[in-house]
Order: sequence, then structure tokens, then C-alpha cells
Amino acid sequence: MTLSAPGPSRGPLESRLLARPAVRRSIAASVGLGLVSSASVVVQALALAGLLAWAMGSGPGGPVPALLWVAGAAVVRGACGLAGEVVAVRGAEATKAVLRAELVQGALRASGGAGGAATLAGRGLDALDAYVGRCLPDLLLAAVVPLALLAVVGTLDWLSGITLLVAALLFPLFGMLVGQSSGSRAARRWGQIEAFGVQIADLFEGLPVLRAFGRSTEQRQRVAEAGEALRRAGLSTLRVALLSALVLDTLASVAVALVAVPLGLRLVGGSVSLASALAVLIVAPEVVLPLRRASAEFHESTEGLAAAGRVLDLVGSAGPPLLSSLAVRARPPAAPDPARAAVELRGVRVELGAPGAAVLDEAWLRIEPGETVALTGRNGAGKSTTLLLLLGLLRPVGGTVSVGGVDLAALDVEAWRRRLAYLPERPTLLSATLADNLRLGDPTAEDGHLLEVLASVGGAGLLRRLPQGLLTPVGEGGRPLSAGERQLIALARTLLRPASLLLLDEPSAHLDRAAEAAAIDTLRRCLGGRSALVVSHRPAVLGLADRVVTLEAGSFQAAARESSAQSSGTMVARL
Amino acid sequence: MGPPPTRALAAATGSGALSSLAGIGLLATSGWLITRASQRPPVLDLAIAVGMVQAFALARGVARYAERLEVHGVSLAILSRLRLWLFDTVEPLVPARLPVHREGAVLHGFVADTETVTEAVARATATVTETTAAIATGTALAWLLVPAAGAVMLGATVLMVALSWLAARVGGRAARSAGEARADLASSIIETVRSAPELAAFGRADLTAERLERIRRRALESALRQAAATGAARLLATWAAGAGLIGVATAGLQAHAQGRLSGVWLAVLLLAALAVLDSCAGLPAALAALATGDGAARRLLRLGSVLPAAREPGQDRSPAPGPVGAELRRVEVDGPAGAAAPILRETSLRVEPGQRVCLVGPSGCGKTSALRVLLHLLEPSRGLATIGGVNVAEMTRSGIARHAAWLDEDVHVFAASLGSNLRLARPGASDEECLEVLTRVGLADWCTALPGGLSTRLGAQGRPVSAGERQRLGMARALLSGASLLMLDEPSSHLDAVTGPEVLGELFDAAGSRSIVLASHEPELAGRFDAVVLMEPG
Repeated sequence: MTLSAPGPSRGPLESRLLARPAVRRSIAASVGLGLVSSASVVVQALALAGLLAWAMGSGPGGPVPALLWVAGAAVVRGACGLAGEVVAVRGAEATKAVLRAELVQGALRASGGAGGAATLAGRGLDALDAYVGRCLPDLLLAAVVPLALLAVVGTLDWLSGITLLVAALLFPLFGMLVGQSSGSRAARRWGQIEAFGVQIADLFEGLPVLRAFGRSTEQRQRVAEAGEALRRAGLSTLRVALLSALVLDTLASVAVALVAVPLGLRLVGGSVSLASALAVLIVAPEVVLPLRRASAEFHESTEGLAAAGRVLDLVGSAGPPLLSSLAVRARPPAAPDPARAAVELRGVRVELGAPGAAVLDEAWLRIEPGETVALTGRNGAGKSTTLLLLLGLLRPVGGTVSVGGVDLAALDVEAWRRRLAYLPERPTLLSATLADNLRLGDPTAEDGHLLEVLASVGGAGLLRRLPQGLLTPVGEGGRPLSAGERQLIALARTLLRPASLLLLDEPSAHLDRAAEAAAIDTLRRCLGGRSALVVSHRPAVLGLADRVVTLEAGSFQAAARESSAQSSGTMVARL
Repeated sequence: MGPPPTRALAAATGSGALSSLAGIGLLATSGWLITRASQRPPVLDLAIAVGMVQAFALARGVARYAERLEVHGVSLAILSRLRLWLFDTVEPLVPARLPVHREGAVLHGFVADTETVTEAVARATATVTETTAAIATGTALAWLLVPAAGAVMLGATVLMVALSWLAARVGGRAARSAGEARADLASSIIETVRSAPELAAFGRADLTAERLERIRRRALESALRQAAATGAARLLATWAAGAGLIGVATAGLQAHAQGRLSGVWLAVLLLAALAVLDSCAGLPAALAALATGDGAARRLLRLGSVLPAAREPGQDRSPAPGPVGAELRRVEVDGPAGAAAPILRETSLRVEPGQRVCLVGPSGCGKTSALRVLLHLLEPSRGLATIGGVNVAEMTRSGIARHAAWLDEDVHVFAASLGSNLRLARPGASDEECLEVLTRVGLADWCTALPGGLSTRLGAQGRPVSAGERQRLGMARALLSGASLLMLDEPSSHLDAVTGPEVLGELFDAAGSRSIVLASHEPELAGRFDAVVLMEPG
């Protein structure tokens, strides 16, 4: 989620959006309702004009049928209004749901962080309400309704028809001229709003530190400046958008004046009937109304369009999906069991962030079935990255990750992950009960088993402190837990999982001595018969391993190959 | 939040009314022109009307432009102020009362809720102004022509206003729950992205997907309920407008039949009624937007109603610069409402100037809370915390920061340069000073290897920083601050077995005569301290 360049300015009809059936259905319904509504306006105009002509003594008919027509038109138009509201909301929500789901999947592969994704998926997609619910239908109505109404006006009075036709043709022209510059401005403004979201998320996450150092008042200044920059950007976007509205509004008013004045003068000459003249006068504003509304809606929703463009860019961008539910392949081979087959990294290169900046390069590692390998090394050497590779959450740009000789990329990744248990460096607790969090490891586990495993890693004291026991809500909005308590829960959850390869990142981080001792004992029991790759620095944890591999930066490629061939001590990565 | 910008508001209201009047004038004058022309008067009789038609046509667009520009200007100015107010409200709540993981709600408040409020206000102001002007003018004009028609017009328009208001009230509840659902969605998305690797590994990506889907359904249902209310208002308002038009026409026709109203003025009456009733059509949507804004405003106020974790005094009574000690005297911190156990119970601690004290105890025993109370990031329920003999409640944040530096167990790296990340501890620090503290925590080589040295961007969208590097950066910050009291919360938990003690040793050397309070679960480090305090849970 880069914040810089907004994509190329696109036309008002976002074709990638229209490709979604939910969007097309909703728009078709809105357009249908709009057409019926316009027809009722024409009926009302003709009825009123007839009524006035009759009153002036220059027309047939009477007041009652005319007023009945007016009533009928109002009934139909009201019904269209009700249905239109519901259809617009339904369509917009359906569209947002599709995009949001796609976006969350996409955000998982991008680097903008959760703040950016939330801003885009929340505030950004809400800006789509106006675009899908009103702007798109109005754009289509603007193409159809004026033509139909022009035909009506033309049959009533061809000269007025021509005047309005010229005005109607000028509309899209002006609209396009102004819209082009405001579209790119809106994209820029959207970029700023998104950046603001990222900045605020960063600020709040770090606010405790800033407060401790007495620096939070300056951050107030930062918020003020960012807000002020947004305000100025907003005003400049608006100035253009409103200027175009001014041009179009004036054009619409002048068109009415241009129809009314000649009509009046020609009435004096007697070349047109009063009823026709009045009908034309009432219908005239309606001819340009859809055009005016479409252009106004378009300006209001340029922001939504810009946001949608960002979402669609993100969704469409290349890269392996992080959550494999999107990556369903046709019958991939079944994943070999690491309890029976060796897992291997062969000359793997991983780049994160800037291309060319390798986190791992020429990395070789082999884990024999049932073997516990401890991975140690300086901070930042790429240990956690190695675990992500084995999870299939990260793909190497060079070399292969394989199990039993089969490339991981060719396997059914879901089935492969069912054989794994993973404890990340910074475990997350879901905002759910303690039991729900533990059951992530084993959905079928009974309460007794959950308690047993939690106690076995040293969590007995934690359980005593929780008044509601397993039903205590944890995670966001739940009971605040210390880092050590979170680690215990995450460790228990990982060990609950019936996996044949354990991938543990600093399993005893944040644990006090008693809990660490309990955790090590339990780990020793759990590791029997399973393969494991454990990242750690602690001697007690390293003592569990059959073999300790040190991941070093700056070694040579040749040495790496050699050592791997001998399947001996070191895994070497060159940076 | 400061006084509202009244002049701009008045300008907005004035131009809004003007544009609405011009719209009615345009249609009514055109109607007069055409019907009068059909009586074939001398062309000069029509000249004034022709001029007025053109004037109204131009005035309408220009007035509307001025109105919108003013309204949006006002709303954007209010938006900036609202965000600052929210910052001031939330700032004293962190970290104790507003844990970091509530950030979804705060973020949504900052970016979306504030904007929803101001946009609703702007939109409602504009619509209400235009409508009021239209109703007043239309009713007056109709009243002058045919009093009965004026009464009908007033009745119909007031009915439309009432219906829209009623629908907005009915839809308001739905609008609020839709807003809640949106705020929850923001939190949920943050959680989904954060927990993605783990959930993928557990094969349970469906969990957060399910939650998102549940919230989405809630949002959809609420939005549909609100749409139904607004739609019903539109339906009834359109019908009321139709009835009003028929009523005005009937009254006008009656007056015409009795010879009290000429055909020309009948046309003016009918066309003006049409224009006025049309201009009320935007009411349901505008008032519904106001209801949505109301929900957002309530959410913001709720965020503001959380009690501050610690109040800052107006006056700073911090001790003179120089080495200081710190003390906790029988401090207690109650748990959140409903929790059985207190967070801290009867805790006393004394650190003399230059002394190094280690707080040791199992996870969850209150070490972090004890440090927070000492730093006045958390107000104790009972008891007293002092730095240099002064109650911390009588010191400002910057006063406390001059004497005490804090190293959190999770060090946050800002999306900013390495230099800015360090200098937040001491704004004026030179590059040399920054490099010196980096050397002391073992990050000198790392910094040299960075492409831009001190100006390399770190954090989100910058260079990734590993857990160990984070911790060292935090230590570097604490050292750079120049405070004589260092409060360290589990400083070596992310460091490897070799580096941890090494860095801690260097930190102790670098600390010189500074006092240190270190919270740790590892008593192995105990040998390096003047005193070790054991804490039990509670």
C-alpha cells in the first residue's frame, strides 16, 4: 500500500467495478426506477400545461382529469423514490462487501500495515456509497433520459428541442473538461486521507512512548498540521468541483431562459400553442437535470472512485496470496508428512521491502524426520523469515523450499499447513474468549484438555487470576494481559495442535523462570517423534535441540553449499 | 472547540437562500412571460420579464457556488478542530486506560467519524437553508395571490418537513447501529491483518472472515432499515408534494373561476408551487445524513467520556535538575470495574539516587503497572508515587520526562527516520550524540550499514526493524534522554543470550551514576543490582 502516486485518471465508469455482477444488477434496477420516475415528470408537466391552457381558454379538457394525472404521477414518483433508496443501499453494500473481502486478502500481501487497510476498507469504501448507489445510475440515466425528453420536447416544439439539444451536448463537454482535472485531484486527496490514517495509527501506537518522554504535545502539532494539510487539499479539490458545478448549473439555468424567452416572443407571433409552450417550459429543466445531477454526483464520488481504484489496484496486483483460500489449485499433490520426509531449504533467497535487499541469500538447511533443529543467530539474521518460508507464507525469489523432495510451491498449501504448528515472534490474541483462542490449535479439544495444556506450560497462576477462567474475553477490548501471559496462551495454543512439524519462534520469550522451566519440560515431551525448527537464544531452549544451527550473515556461498552437503552444523546465509 | 465561524456561516446561509429564491423566480417569471405572451401584448410589455428570467438564471448558479464553497470551507475548518479535540481527549488515556489494541476504534474516530459529523452538518445546513427560504418565499407569494393557496402550500411543505424529520428519527437508531458496525469493521480488519500469518498457519483464516461477514450483515441490515425509513419519507413527501400541488391548483382554479385571479397569475402560482415543492425533495436525505452524523458524534463523545488514566497538573513542581531517587508508598491500583483482583496491592518501593533496583516477579504480578505509576502514566487508587521527593501528580509530563526515561517491553518504532526515532527522547541531540548512544547499545555497525545512516526511514513502509534492534533502539532513546532515572521494563527479553547481558552491561556502564529501576522475570541478572525486590502476584 504505497501512498505516493495515484494511478492514471480513469473515466467515470470504472469497468473493473462494473465487471462484478452485484454492481450491474443494482445499477440496472436503479436505472429502471429512474426512467419510470422521469416518465412521471413528463406526465405531470403535460397535465399542468393542459390545465393552464384550459384555464386561459386556449385548450380542451378540464381540471379533473388533469389533476388526476398529476396525482397519479406523484404516486408513481413516490414509489420510485422508496424503491430507489433501498436498491441504492443494497447495491452499495453488496459492492463494498465484495471489495472489502478482496481488499483484506490483498492487504495481507502488502506492506502498508493494518492502519492503511482499515482506512481504505472502512472510510474508503464508504465513499463508494455515493458512487455505486447514485452516481453510476445517474450517469447511465444521463445518457438515456435527456434523449427521451428531447424527443418529447421536439414533438411539442422543434425549435426549443434544438436549443435544448445544443445545451445537452455542451454538458458532457464542459463536464469532461472540468472533471479531468478534478479527478486527478480527488485521487491525490484520497492518497492524503489514506496517509493520514497510516500516520494516525502509527502515532497512537507510539503514543505511550511519546507521553513518557513528554513529547505528546508536539504530536498534537503534528495532528494539527496533517489536518490542516488535508483541509487545504480538500478545499482546492472542492473549488474545482464546485466551479464545474457552477458552469453546469448556469448552463442549465440559461438553457431554461433560452427556451422561455423565444417561446414567449413566438407566442406573441402565434406560431406556437400555449399548452405546448408551457409543457416545454416545465419539461426543459428536466432535460438537463439528469446531466447536472450526474456531474454533481460524479464530483461527489470522485473520492469514492479514487478509493475504489486503489482497492482494485491492490486486489489485482500480483503476488502470492497470503491466505491460501484464494489459491485453490487443481488437485495439487498431497503434502508429504514431515514425520517421515525431510524438509529442506536449498539455496533460498528472500527479498523483503526494496527489491535487491535480501534478507536471506543462498540459505541451505535440512531437517530430518523427527529431528529438532534449533536456529540461532544475531538479531535480524533472517530466522523468523525462515519460519515463514516453511509455512508457505513467503515464497523465495531464488532456490526452493521442499519437503520429501517436492517443491512446497507445488503442494496443496492448506493440507501442508495442517501438518504444522506455528508460534510467531509476536503472537496475536483474537478478541474472543480464552477458550476460543486456545481452540485455534485444536477445535475439538475439550475444556479439561485446554486447561491441562495451559497449566503444563506454566499457566496455572494465570488461570487463577482470571475470574471467568476459560470464558474470560481476551484480545482487543478484553482483559489486559501482560506480554508473558499472552506468550503462555499462544504457546499452549500451538502445542495443542496435532502437528508433525513445529515451527516455534522464541517459545520462551517474556516467560518468567518458573514458566520457562515448565514450558521446556512440556516442549521436551511434545517434541518426541515430531520434527521441529525452534528459533531461540536461550540456552535452556537450545538444550532441547538435536542440533543447533547458527544463521550467520556475511559467510560465503561455497562454504554454505559444502556444509549443507554434509548436512552438518551451520546454515549459512550471505547478505 | 472554539467559537463557530459565524461570518462564514452567515455568508453560506445568505447565498443559499438567494440561490433558492432565484430558482423559484426563474420558473415563475418564465411562466408569467409565456402565458402573458399568449395574450399577444406589445412586445415591450414582456421586456422586463425577459430581463428577469435571464438575471434569475445567472444569479442562481453563482449564489449556489458561493453557498457551497462557504459551507464546505466551514465544515473543513470544524473538521480540523474536531480532530484536535479528539487528540486532546484521547492523549491522557494512553497507555493505561486505552490499551494499544483499542486503536481500531480510535483510528476510525479520527479518520471517519469526525468527517461524518462535519459532512452531515454541512449538508443539513445547506438543505435546511435552501428549503426554509423556498418555503417562506413560496408561501408568501401564494398568499398574496390566493390566501387559500398559501395556506395549502404552507401545510404541504410543513408536512414534508415533519415527515422527513420523523423518518430521520426512526432511521436514526438504524443509522447509529450501522455506524457502530462500521467502527467494528475497522477494528476487525486491523485484527485480521495482524493475526493473518498465525491464522493461515492454523488453517483458520475462516475465523476472522466469519467475523467480518457477521459485522457486514449487521451493517447491511442497519443500512437497509435506515434506507427504508428514508425511502418511506421520500414516498410520503412526494405524495404530500403532489397533494399540495393539486390543492394549490384547486384553490387557484377556484379563484380564477371567481375572477379573482387572472390566467397569467394562475400560471405564476402553479409554476412557483412546482418549484417550491421540488426544492423540498432533498429534505429526507439531508435529515437522514444528520442522523448518521449524530451517531458518529455520540461515538466520539463516548471515547471522550473515559476517565483519564492520570491527570496532568497545571503547574510543574518537578525537582531541580540533578540525580534523583524515586519512591512508591503503599500504592494500590484497582482493577477495571468488575474485576475481582486489584492490579497492585500495597506496594512500596524506594530507590535512592544512583541506586539500581531490580523488580523481580512472575508474569502478571504488576511490575509494568508499578513502573507506570512511578511515571504517572497511571494514577494509583491509593498511595503515593514520588520522584526526587515530589509527588508525580504535581509534575507535568515534560517535567517527569526530564528526570525519568522509560523503556517499554514493546518498543514502538515510528514510521520516520532513525534520527527522529532517537531524537524524540531529546529534540536537540546532535548526530554525534545519536551515533554515540547507538554505539553504546551495539547498533553502530547496523547504523553504518543502513543506506541513509541516521536519515534512513524505519517502521511501516521503511526498513524493517527486527525485535532485537527495536529493543536496542529503545535503550538508545532512554540513554539519549539525559534523564537521571531509567525505568526499564524487560529490556532484554528480545535479545539473544550473548547480546542481552552484553548490552545490559554496556547500558549499566553508560548509565554511570543514574538510578535504574528494572523490571524483569529473570533473577539471573540480580547480581548487578544494589537491591532486588521480589513481587508476588497482586
